[in-house]
Amino acid sequence: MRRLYVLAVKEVKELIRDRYVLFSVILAPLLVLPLLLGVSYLAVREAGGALEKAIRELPGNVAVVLEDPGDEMALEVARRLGARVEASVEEAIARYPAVVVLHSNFTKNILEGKPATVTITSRVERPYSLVEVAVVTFLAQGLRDVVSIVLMERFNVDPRLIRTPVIVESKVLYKGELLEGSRLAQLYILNMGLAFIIFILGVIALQVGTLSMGIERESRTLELLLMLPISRVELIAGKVLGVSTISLMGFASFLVGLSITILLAPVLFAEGFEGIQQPQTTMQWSPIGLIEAFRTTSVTSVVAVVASIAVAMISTTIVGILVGVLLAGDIRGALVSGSYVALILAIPLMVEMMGLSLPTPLQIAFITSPMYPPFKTAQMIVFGETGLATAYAIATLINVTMLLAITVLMVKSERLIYGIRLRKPRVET
Amino acid sequence: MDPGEPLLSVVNIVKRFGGVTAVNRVSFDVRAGEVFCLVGPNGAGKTTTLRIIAGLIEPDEGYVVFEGRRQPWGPDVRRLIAYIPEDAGVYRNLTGFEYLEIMARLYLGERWEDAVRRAAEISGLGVRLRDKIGGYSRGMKRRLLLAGALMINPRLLVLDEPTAGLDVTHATAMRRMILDYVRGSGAAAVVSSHNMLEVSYMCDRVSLINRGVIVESGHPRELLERYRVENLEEVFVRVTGGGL
Ligand SMILES: Nc1ncnc2c1ncn2[C@@H]1O[C@H](COP(=O)(O)OP(=O)(O)OP(=O)(O)O)[C@@H](O)[C@H]1O
Ligand SMILES: [Mg+2]
Repeated sequence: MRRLYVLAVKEVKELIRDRYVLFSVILAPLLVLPLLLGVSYLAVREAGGALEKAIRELPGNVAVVLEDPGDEMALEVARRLGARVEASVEEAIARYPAVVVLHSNFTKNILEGKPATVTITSRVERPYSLVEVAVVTFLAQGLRDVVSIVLMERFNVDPRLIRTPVIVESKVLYKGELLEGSRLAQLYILNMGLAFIIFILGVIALQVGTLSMGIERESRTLELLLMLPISRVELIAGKVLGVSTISLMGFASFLVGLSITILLAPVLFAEGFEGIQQPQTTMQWSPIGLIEAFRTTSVTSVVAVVASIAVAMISTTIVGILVGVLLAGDIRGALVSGSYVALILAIPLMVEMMGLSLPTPLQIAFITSPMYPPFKTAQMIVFGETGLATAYAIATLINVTMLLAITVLMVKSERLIYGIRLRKPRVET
Repeated sequence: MDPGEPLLSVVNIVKRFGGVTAVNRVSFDVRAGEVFCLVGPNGAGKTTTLRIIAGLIEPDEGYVVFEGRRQPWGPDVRRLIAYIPEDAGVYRNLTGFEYLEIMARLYLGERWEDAVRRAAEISGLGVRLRDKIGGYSRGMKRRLLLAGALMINPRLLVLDEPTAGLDVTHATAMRRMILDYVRGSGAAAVVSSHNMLEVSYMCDRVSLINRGVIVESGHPRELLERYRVENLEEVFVRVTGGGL
């Protein structure tokens, strides 16, 4: 019993006094979830607030254009939507955030069991945020509901008897250009896909970066490395190059795994889940959608996407090396601290993958994350926001330079090479 | 350069870690073609001194000059220095040949192939050079490291207890290699050691260090005569008053 106690005390003391254990076992688990929760909460709150406001303001803010101004049901739908009737889309869209066009033969089609067609044209300012896209979805749903009500109250028809009363096409006015809704969906998929790629690759790169320093530490080759007749920047560049090769191999193997999953999933779940409906949305994320989005996007955007992936990988690797120097005493320590730091730094990308944007103060805070500014740069280029793209590109540049400088300084630091602890000066006897 | 001029000068270096003064006003010169030894008990400050010479630690006071150039040194000076730390590690998943090739290419550029051939010979590891270093014995690792260090034609060798943990045969061979290199190339070597026998065998000059302070210096034979004793261990006991 006594011996057990002594052993346990030894274990606790040895572990808890280790800087690496302290981070990976105590500090990181403490931070990760609250941080993720906090950031998600702020992002969702902002998105929710914006959505609510948009929906609240919607009724008086929608214009309806009737292709057949005498159509009875169309007129009723417009009235119940609380919308103003305008003559043409071109004029109306300048003054209203959304214009609904009810096409001709509206009543006739519905009563004959054929779907009536509706086009919603909406103005969006930030199409990379799910909020504005959600407004369009909301409007489409509202329209369907109103049509059902009108059918019931005015025409005494049970709307459930009609399979698809209305088909809604959506168009988007973005930066003075009228885009098909499907085009927006593609850009959107590209956006989320990019966040996903950078997230996965970033996590891999950070882990491999930390790992490579953990290996140097554990095999005591750090001094050999530092004595080499090359500059510190070259040393780190060489490491980044080697580590990136491994990271890309890791990413490739992830992609293979993903492909297997995608090919296998429909086979395994061929029956579907009973009682669970597939969400019907064009916004669905799929690798095929991603490839399609890539195919239909401008060369500039594709270059931006590829460059942002490369930059994110490089700067994340540098962070990995830095984390390795600071927090990895050996290989296992490197793996654990690398994973946690990767998770923390990837939080803004997780938020973007949910289709949300960070509130501005958080965006500024996460400018220091190695993955976020390159992602935002590419995102802004894809969505044609030149000004913001430039701002994020500058942030990326500053970020990488700073990271490199800090890492060079840290690598040189004798305290980090030899793990010197600065204790209070003791009186020598 | 004037032959009398020292290749390496260590001037009044001081290094403190918290309350411990690891190195306290240590000074010495090393000339070309000379093996200089730093001898002292555990914790005397040998490793710290060598790390300062290698440029991996900055002294709190004093400075180091090599070939007329003061620290900190850039890659051009580091190219001329080979440092083997006391517990130097190896890349376990590289083969001996791969390690030598990498080092030769980094230090010598185009002229690497000859150097690797030479190093392979010096190391005496033969076909084992094709194996991963992780499987080498301690002595084999040290031989590989030394061969790699000599291969780059350093002007200064900094060796921290190069023979620690080696058997007599291996230790003797290693000393031979170091001496031959220094005599043949006119380079300088700074070697730390506990082993007094080793010191009398290979050192041209020796400084005894205790608690960070150099307490005695001279040629090994000179010291024996000065203290009228049989071996260097006794000199050490005399100098430190027996208490380490
Ligand atoms: N990284 C460090 N952090 C704190 N103190 C250190 C550090 N390195 C050395 N010291 C202290 O400096 C003093 C000299 O250590 P050093 O390693 O130079 O001795 P040494 O002569 O090489 O000993 P040994 O023969 O055991 O190798 C010791 O008191 C040691 O505790
Ligand atoms: Mg030592």
